Amino acid sequence: MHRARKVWLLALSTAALACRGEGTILELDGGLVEAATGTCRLEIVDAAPGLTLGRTLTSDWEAGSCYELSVTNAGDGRVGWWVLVAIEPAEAAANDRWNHAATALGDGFEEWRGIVASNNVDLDAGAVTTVGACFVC
Amino acid sequence: MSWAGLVAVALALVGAPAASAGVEPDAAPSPADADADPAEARGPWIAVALAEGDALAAEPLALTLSGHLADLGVTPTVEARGADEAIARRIAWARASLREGAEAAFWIAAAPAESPGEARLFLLHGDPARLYARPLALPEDPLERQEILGIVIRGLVDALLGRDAPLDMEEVALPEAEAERPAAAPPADAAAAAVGDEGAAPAEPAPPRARLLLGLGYAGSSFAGALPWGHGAALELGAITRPGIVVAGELGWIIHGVLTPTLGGAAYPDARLRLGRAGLGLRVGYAIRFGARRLGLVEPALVARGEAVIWWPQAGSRALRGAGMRVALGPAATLGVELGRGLALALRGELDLWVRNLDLAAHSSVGSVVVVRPPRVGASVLAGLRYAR
Repeated sequence: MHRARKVWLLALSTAALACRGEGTILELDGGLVEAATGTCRLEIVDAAPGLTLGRTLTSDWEAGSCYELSVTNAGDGRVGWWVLVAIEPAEAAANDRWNHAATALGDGFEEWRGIVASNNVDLDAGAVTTVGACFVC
Repeated sequence: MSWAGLVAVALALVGAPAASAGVEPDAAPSPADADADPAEARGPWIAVALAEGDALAAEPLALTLSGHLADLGVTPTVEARGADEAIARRIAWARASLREGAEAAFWIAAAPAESPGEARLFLLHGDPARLYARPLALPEDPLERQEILGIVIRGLVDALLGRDAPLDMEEVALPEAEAERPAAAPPADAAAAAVGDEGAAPAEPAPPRARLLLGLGYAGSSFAGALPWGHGAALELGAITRPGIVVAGELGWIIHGVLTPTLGGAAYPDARLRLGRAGLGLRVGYAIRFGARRLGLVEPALVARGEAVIWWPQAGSRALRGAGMRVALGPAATLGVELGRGLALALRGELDLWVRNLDLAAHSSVGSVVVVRPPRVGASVLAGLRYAR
């Protein structure tokens, strides 16, 4: 009985300490391209101003998916591009990437940027770069 | 109540049967000499009673007190009383002094054996009479002792003149038999006789009432790396019980600087917002006084606080408006210094352990991503004035 009470107290304390609410301060555009259909889903949530984006499901199998994004600078000047993507499920892990670096933001969100090795950190006006990743989920 | 006959201070060291006649400076007439109303005839005066056998003598103490009180226009009367006098008899004597035109009476309870030098000064004054007490460190040397009494009594008389509560004294309840006595008390001799059963008289006054506590001042608090510190104001209302237990409610409002949301390396300058926090807290602590005149204050406490976090967009911003709740528990410590008349300067630090926290997030059609994640531990500071009465 005494032990059970201790367990309950510990559980309650842990729950209290782990308790976090969430408030929305910003609505991201989302839906910049049509809905994804792969086993792992990749949504483009936001992107640097002046970019035109395309997304292609290049490979899909029962445990994962590969996507490729075409990023076009539709603006007048040179731009350091970035794209904010969300992968579903959030636990999906990338097992391959090309032409970009990703920063994990939590809950399946990633920020993608160009890399020096691919010479696509900045895009001239009208320039296009193709980047991609495969995920296991 | 008129100033005439405002303060009678009777200082009697614990003990001793009632004894000798009062001594006062040459210029002051005795209340007994007045033909009509003695208080009217002699002006404001105080009575000081000494314990027989005390290192002090009545006459030099009367002269010292007279010097300290001259600018207040108050005349002292000093008298020696028995060193083993019961408290009921002492209070009866003090009441008799009040009826003669005085409205207050002081005496000193001798230092207990375990802490020699730490005597206790009592004051009875007002109508209905109220009893106050404070610790008093008295040196061995009679001249120093005399001077300290002069300074302390002068401060008290000055406070009473200003119709304030006696400075640095805590109110204590009168012994029950005393408290129940009607205001129109019998003459001094009868009063003394009424409490003649010394065996039945309480040895010490009963525990006193709680005091009201009010506080107002600056409040600052941490939130998160993106919004490190906010500034605002806080108000507190509570009570201090006689043993020094403090129970207070706190109300605060803090506002932070402008937040530009950032996700990864991407900033959203078109989504700037402001964030404010409205807090409601409960503090339970223990006030400990220290220092030569017990003007210092330290108060360890536990604080529980609920907080509404409110955010709103800046002009032209696409940020959303919203609100959320957080709850914290944590230790706090207050340092203070008494300024007099119940006012004190106070500085408090709190450690906030957020048991219910709030993330600020960006929402999209596929879910939410956290933009600001406040840590589990934060800090708050409050600095301002507090008033206890």
